[in-house]
Amino acid sequence: MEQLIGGLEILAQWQNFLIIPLGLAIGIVVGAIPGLTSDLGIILCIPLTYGMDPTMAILMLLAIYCGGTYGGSITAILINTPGTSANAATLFDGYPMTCRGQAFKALQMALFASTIGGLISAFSLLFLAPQIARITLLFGPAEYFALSVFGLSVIAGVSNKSIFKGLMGACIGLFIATVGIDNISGTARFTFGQNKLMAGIDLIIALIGLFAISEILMKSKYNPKTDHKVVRADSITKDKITKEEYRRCRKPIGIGSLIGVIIGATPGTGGGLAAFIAYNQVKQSSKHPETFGQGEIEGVAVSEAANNGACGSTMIPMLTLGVPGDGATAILMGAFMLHGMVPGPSLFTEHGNIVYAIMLGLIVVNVFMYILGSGFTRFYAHITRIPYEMLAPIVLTFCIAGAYSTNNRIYDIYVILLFGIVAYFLRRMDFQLVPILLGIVLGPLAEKNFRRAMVISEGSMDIFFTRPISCAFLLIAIGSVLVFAWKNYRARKKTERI
Amino acid sequence: MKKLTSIALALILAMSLLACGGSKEPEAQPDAQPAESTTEATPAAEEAPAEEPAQEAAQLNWPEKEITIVQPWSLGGGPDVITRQIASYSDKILGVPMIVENHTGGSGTIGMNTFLEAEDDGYTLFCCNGPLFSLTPSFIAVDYSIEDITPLVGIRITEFVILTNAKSGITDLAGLVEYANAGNTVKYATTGGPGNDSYTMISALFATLGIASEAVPYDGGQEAINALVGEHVDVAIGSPPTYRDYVINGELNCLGTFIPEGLDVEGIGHIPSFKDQGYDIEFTGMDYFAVRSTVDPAKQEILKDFVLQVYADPEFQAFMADMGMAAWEADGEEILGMVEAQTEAMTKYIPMVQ
Repeated sequence: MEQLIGGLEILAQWQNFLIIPLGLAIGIVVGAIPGLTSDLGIILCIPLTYGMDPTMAILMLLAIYCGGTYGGSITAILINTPGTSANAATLFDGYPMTCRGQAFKALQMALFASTIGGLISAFSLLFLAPQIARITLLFGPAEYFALSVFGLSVIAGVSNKSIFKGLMGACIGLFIATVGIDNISGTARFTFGQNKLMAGIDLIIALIGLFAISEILMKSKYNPKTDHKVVRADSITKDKITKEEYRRCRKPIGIGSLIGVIIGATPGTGGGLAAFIAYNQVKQSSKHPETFGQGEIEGVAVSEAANNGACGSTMIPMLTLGVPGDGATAILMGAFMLHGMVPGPSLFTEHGNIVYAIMLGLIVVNVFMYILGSGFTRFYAHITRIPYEMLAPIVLTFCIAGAYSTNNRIYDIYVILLFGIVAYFLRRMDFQLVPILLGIVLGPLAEKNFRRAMVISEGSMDIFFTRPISCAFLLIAIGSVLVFAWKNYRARKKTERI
Repeated sequence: MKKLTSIALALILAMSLLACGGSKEPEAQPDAQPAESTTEATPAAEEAPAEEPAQEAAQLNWPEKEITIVQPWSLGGGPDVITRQIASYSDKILGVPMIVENHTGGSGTIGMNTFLEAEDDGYTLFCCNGPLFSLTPSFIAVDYSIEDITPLVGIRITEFVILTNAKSGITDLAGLVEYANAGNTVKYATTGGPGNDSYTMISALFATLGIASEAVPYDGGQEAINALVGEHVDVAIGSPPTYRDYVINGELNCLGTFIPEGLDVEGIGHIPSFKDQGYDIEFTGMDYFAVRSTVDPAKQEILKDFVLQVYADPEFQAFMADMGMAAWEADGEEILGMVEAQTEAMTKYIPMVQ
């Protein structure tokens, strides 16, 4: 309690309330540019924080992180390209809403859900951090593998039209994830003698190629004379969220936030996986699952609540155990060390007041995000009015710059172009891109932990079923696939009868 | 109007592509002058190698633009955090910014190749370590050698310690051998896979002990330690500060260290070396700054002097103490000697684990 009050005193300094909106603005802008992520925003701003006091510095970087995670939804909704991998699930319903002229409504819901998810996450960090941290220690290789299988089971839900193509897509993703040096055996796989492939294919590079470049190629038949819809400026922001829609989204936001907190607190996972799992759960339990993927506002709500719900909880293992929850928190951990605080069990005893100030600050960050985001939403909604022949080169420029900035090399630009072309043909053949992305995200997690588990169990598969958490995840995954199979079967029967 | 806008956008695109392409070798023009001074400095350096570079350094108006540290290890890790902290002093001491670029993967070889592709104008530093020469070439085909670099000054010594979970009741190597002899295969967490120094040394230790064991490679030191705290493995290898708190609060036991003279850690006390425990195995890991061997010695002197000035700063010393480490002020000669000794030692250890 003393530390909480001490933290409040540190947080109450006026400078903190100036730096948070600045960090948020940087984060939202960076997150909304395809190819630029909050990770990059944090790296670029770390040198700016050298002269600041630790609380102010970390709050600025945290604001970039949260702003970036929300900002990524803007492009997912408007141009069918997620700004970060955490926003990939927002595509499902966000972009169809834009196509229906409901971009403003989708952006509003993304902001609202992100804020609620972020707030729930911030409160869990504040009050439950030590307890959650102890639970994450129970996660060994078997549990991580089972969690990845559970994540991969989402494929069944996101490839409704053809489960076969969904599985093929996931295999492509899993294959891409194997490129590079295998950490367990130390051998280079599928590098074709190229040193530049030793580190594998960066997730963000794959993301830009798969979504942004292929989207531009898909629009190659676009005719500016006939395809561009002229929309009046005042009509853009007319379609607002109704009270009934807010009421409908309460449950998805709650589920999304909860799953976001749990998955986020599990090191090595992150908001992207949380969003997919939450989306899948809400779709399954919905009375109208057929509307998901067609521009269902609940889909936007659950995805954004989940990825921002993970933002605060990824800090739990980082602060308490010294293990970053995802890439951005790994960089944040470095920032903590640069400011003389070593994350780990002793952080709360040695720098308790500052840590509490930061945790309380995360609540302020989310409140400010709503205020600032409301202004940005109005502005961004007008992007839909830009003719595509102008928007495409701008997006392409940002993608190329973003791809280059990831590793500072031209090679990655060739990779995004190659991915874009392959993804274009896959899309023409009615393949969904999300299973490919899921394969890339979950492949390394599944493979590494499967092999670790096999070493620990001396080759016995029993390890996955004798450990309760692992067994529970696998059963949920199997149940989840069976429910989808049953629903699909019934739907097909119904269609046959008609 | 539309045509004009399209042309303007196409130009922006072309310019951004050019900017991307050009930024790989932007140093070409400003380097003309330093390159001349390099050729002038070499004969002088041959005549009086010890004093000339220092004198020339004082006369040289260098650096004139930002300096890049190529970091082959990931963001937020120990070497990354220390180099970023050192870089933060550059504006104040050298008057130019210093940026850290992470080029990770390939057990550090990707960073090494990026560093060797850069101009030898002194504006690119490399955060190097011993295993890149003593160990990695045995696992990955590399096209560099120790002759390509000149070590400037040390960064830190890596002090590997072997730990067990306190609940296992194993407090020393004898206890571990007893546990293995009871028919158990010891599962040990490493901070990386084959080609990684922690992997090699702990595997060599178990080979020396002659007990049944299996490596479980993790991605980084803290992950390995947490796997041990969560009782997923029997043993883990760690370096400060990853294990310190857990040992202090009694959750983990230290079995020993590879540092031949043992290790004194604040709050823990003396950790005996394996050598002292009667096992012929030792390893001292190190990180250090290096430049390309063809860089002007006067510039090398400026860079080395800068790092030493940072090490003398009380704030930096406090920062390192918080991390449970101390800055390693070794000079180039000492570093080369250690790399050579390590390479020789590895000829014994690598066959044990391959």
